[in-house]
Amino acid sequence: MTTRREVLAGAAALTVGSALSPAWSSTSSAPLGFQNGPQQGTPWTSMRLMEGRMPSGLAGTLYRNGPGHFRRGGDVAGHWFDGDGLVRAVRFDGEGVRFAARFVDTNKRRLETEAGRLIMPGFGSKAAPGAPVTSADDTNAANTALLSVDDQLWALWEAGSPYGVNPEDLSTVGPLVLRDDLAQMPFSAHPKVSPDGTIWNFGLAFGRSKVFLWMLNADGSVQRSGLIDLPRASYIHDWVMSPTKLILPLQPWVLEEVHPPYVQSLRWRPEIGMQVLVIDKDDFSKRRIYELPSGSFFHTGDAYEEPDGTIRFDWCLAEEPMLNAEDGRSILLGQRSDKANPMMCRAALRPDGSAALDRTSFSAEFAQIDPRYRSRRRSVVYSVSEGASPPQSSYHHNAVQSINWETGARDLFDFGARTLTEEALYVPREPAGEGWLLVPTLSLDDEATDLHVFNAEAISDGPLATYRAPSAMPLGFHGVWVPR
Amino acid sequence: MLRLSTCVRWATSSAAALAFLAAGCAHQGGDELATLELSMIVTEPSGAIMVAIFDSAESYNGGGSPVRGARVRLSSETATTVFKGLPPGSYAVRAFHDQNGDGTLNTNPLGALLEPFAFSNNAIVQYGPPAFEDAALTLKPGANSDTLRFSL
Repeated sequence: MTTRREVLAGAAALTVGSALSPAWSSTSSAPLGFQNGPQQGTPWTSMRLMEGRMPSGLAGTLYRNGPGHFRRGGDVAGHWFDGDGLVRAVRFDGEGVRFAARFVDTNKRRLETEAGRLIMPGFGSKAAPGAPVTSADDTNAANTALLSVDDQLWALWEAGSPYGVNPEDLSTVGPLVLRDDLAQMPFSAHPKVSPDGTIWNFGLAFGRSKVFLWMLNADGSVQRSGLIDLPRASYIHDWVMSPTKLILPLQPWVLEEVHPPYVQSLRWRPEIGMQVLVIDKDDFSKRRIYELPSGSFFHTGDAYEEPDGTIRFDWCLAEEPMLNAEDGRSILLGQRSDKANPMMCRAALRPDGSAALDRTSFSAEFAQIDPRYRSRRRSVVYSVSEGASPPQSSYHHNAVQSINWETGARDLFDFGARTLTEEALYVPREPAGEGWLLVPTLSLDDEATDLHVFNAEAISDGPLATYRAPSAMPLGFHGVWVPR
Repeated sequence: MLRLSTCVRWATSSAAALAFLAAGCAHQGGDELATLELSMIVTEPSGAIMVAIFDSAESYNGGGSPVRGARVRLSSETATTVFKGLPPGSYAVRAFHDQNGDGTLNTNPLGALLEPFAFSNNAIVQYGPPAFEDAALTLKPGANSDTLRFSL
């Protein structure tokens, strides 16, 4: 392997039909969670124990990624998803807990730093006149997720190459060429790792009805790949993998006329419903399409197969697209969309070609499982949720929960209206079925980023321990746990 | 996110045209005619540079053949080639650095360019190739020059 952006006053916004509730913070300053992160990064610094005690046996590093720079020289990013990738790390070394953060040194970030403006295009940001855009990686923000591959971190975006990142000092290696002839191919932010270590991913051909499928060995080398036609040009952020199948749910949020930025080219067509494309892992030409009612989503959960061939998978499904062009901008300005949150659902794809959805009444996003049950039947799914009182922010999550599909039980901790919860990651402990949930939060009152450790089997008991970062960080997206 | 399809069309038409012209064209003389000296700067001295000169937006956009073409072998990071006997007028140059010397502009399965390229008049690429007007040079009778800086 080789290395290689008008402030909408509350009332005015309503008149344009955007159905925004009043802003929670002044539009003249960036709201907490959507402010620029520390430009020079944060060196490894001890985190202060705020509450509880260090859980015995928790050793390793939580790495998280997410957009961390939205404003330059009066410009504001066109969409939340277009902020520069800021990698944050929380290391449990058995004695203490340390924090570090560093921006991914992308071509986009270099050019914009030099220009003192936001000039590069993205998911929802337009290119400034004259911005040099010749390839996908020119605009790669490396801002969405992380994958740990062979002693390296891959900072993932969804329309370009993974960016290599050093897991010790968080320095940037550069965009990775997985194979010479596959340079610049899209590598999504949601790779799926098989129990045997094989890395599967898709890459959406933005602007066309195609996806590229990647099958990588555990060391990151390409084992097999293929370009697949889609029946429709849906926006696909996350997908699903079962033991034998690659599953691409195709929401009715589809690209029609192409006029950058991408998100402004998407149209919501609920009348065409949801399709689910199922591809054989062993033979990409073997495909089947299932039909389901309309829905929109960013994130799915794990899938398993039942003896009769039925495939079931967790799914955080909303009634309509969240974070579209309008929402993605207004969230940065502190203006809250009143769209309903996604709800935890579970899909069943049956051998007779029929499909069904089990729906819960629980709001849910960022579905997680005990990774030891990956691709296997299990009953519990973990996620963030919205508590009894919605957060006083343009961000929607302020609770963490588990849902048991067998019993219908929900175990929830509600942080309240003044604390925002990022993705909760499951960290296994012995025996299988037991673990911790690592839950980063942002306190609006304390203006502080915290990391909470929960017992995954007793979430409503509250955190076992809470550690505070040296400064408030922008809200992150996805992370990875690397055991020591 | 990127309109790669534009790049695909460009890559396909220009690669085919360059392959066709790889054998080179005869130079012509004449006092009223123009000479274009192209300086070329690459990042590594491997393979060759494939250059094509177009005298209309139509041909430049893939609807016709270039008026001249050349394959320039590289022994350092800079090279020069001269085109003589061109009628004065507007011309645009497309070129790529055929780093692996296989005679084609290599692309990935989605048509994204994998070898460095350059346009005349320092024209900037945004999503796809610059318009003919943006890349155009006005050649006067006698000596003219331009520099192609290859990047990916």
